[in-house]
Amino acid sequence: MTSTSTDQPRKTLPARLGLSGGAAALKVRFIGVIVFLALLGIAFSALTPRFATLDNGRSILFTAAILAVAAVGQAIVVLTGNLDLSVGAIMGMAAYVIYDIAGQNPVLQPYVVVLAILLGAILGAFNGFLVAVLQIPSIVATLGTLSIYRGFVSFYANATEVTSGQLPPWMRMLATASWFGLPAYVWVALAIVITTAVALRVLPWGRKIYAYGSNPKAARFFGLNSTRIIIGAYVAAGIIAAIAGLLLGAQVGNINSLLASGFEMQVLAAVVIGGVSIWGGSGSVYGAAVGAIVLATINNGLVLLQVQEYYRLLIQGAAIVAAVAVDALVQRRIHSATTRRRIMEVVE
Amino acid sequence: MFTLTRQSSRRIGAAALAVVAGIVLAACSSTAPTSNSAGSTADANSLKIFMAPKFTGLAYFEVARVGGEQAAEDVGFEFQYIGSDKPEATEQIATITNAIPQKPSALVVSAIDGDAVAPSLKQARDAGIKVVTYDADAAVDSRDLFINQLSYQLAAETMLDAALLNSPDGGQVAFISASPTAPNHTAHVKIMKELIDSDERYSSLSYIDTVQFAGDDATKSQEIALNLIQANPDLKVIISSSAVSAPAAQQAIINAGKTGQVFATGFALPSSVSDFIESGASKAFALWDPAELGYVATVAAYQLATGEITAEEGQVIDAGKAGKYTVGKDGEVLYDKPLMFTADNIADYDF
Repeated sequence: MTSTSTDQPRKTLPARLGLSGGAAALKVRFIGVIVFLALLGIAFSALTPRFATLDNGRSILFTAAILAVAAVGQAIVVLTGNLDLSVGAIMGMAAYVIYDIAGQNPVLQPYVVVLAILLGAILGAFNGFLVAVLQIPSIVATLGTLSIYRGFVSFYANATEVTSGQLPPWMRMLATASWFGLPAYVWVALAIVITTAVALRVLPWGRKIYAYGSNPKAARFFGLNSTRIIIGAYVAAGIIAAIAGLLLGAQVGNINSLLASGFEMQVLAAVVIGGVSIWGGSGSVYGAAVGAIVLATINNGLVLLQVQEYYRLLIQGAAIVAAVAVDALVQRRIHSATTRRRIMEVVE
Repeated sequence: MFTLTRQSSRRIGAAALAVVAGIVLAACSSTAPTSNSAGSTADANSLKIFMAPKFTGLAYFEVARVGGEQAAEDVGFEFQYIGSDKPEATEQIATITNAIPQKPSALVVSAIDGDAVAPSLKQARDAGIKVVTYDADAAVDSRDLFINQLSYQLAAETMLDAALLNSPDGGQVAFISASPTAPNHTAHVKIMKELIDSDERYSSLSYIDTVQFAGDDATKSQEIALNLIQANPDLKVIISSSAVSAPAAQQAIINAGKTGQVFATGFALPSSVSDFIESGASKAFALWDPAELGYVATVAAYQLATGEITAEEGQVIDAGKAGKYTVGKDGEVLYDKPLMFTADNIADYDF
């Protein structure tokens, strides 16, 4: 998160103090999400006996699985200080187009994941090109591609549906399977979350994303190629979104051209609640995944309590605002800490 | 704040470009890609009828469109299908407002929100355009006729019958609607509750009072279905008037491994539910023939536009092979031909 500074050879005492101040704030932020989730759990358990059961826990994790996968992809982009509003459209396109093609050419059915990776990479690269090369602000660029991708699905689908019988049988089985007591989707989501987290931590690619996101100017000054970093982040996000689309398609069964429309709001909510800073550079994919579980828990608990839909929106909105407000405070703290450090270094 | 470091002039230029592109895109999506004409174009004075579904991209409305196109071909007038692919009232209002200057003779509309689109429909009527609603009604004074696929009463009975076919011993039911502003869904649920309370035939059923809303979204419907199953251990049947929610709920039941313990039913296209019915996961779903409904609504719009009929009570719409229908109170015309899809007949339907 502050790897720009750790990469530097010289470290002064104030620098180390400043770093630990920022890092501590971030740690508090992640623990905050866990605490919030625990409080939700306690509140719902107290209000309804149906909440704290194994079966319900499984059900929440199953609902959260796809959202968590999509949120992980979004988190990579948000870490660079950008947004990807086209995530729902990429999911919809991957699900509809790939299952339609595979439905008509059964030989392709074992390779749907490969097709999703290809399609996701292309759509993500186009997003990245608009943002990094043409330098269009990401919120506008991906709002545009949201329309383009969704428009393409509508055009391609021509108001027909891909029905559950056309889906590859192995994907349908995956959607209903249960491994070691948990739905298969939960394991798949966990695998994607951990793989992405490790990639961000271990690969130079991942460290550059954090470095660029936390301070684009400095990153460029130190010779990091910002174009490549941003396009790389969007390609990764596109691939993950396309895979999330396949999972969602197999879960829903009957796929129409509107699948996952509006999903970007849920995904962004999960990322923000999970503590990934909307200003870039800080947060973790684990946080984004926990954010997805928080949203799924809110939805589940409110249905269990027979609460009307309107309240769900209110509560979800309040959680988002609270999360961003906390982020703003953390951000200010890190900012003042790192600025102080930089001044010290310059003075030295 | 996402692009702190970029040159501002370049950024503003690019942003402006992108915004313009976005607007052009939005404008296109609300009219161009879905408009299509059929029927006679020989006569410059020939009538022109526009059909606007709640939103485009749903197979159900596409089947109704085929009926409208057939009517145009049989009777001989120009037919256009207009609409946005976003399920939002503001989009439909824009579609209707944009249609008025093109001076169609009549509009055939499925209202996404009966009150929200009413002012734009009134504008159309003020401009001399006849307005017929089908599938979902708008405020009574904003349209001439409403071709109602099933009276609310019959729709409610049909869905409860389907519920009993799935769970012959009755049990607890839960409802998923599209939105609180969808007048037909709201009415269906209200009448189903009344029937369960008072009608002997449905006395084996009980219901969960809170209605959940899924906005015709498959993902949302599944999440709600799953949560309903968790919340109510005695739940037997999930009922939805939404052709998206009902099959999605059934799929959620299968995903959760509750096949045979809980059922989903309601209105759905036979193509969406044939797998469930053939595999035995569900015993029955219901609907009507959307193509014939679209046919009757379009013919009614044509006859209103030519002055063959008025919207007064007692007038008769002769839709040829699709039958004769009498205008009732408040300009409501009952189509009233429910279809029940079961293992015995699901293979006979191709929509």
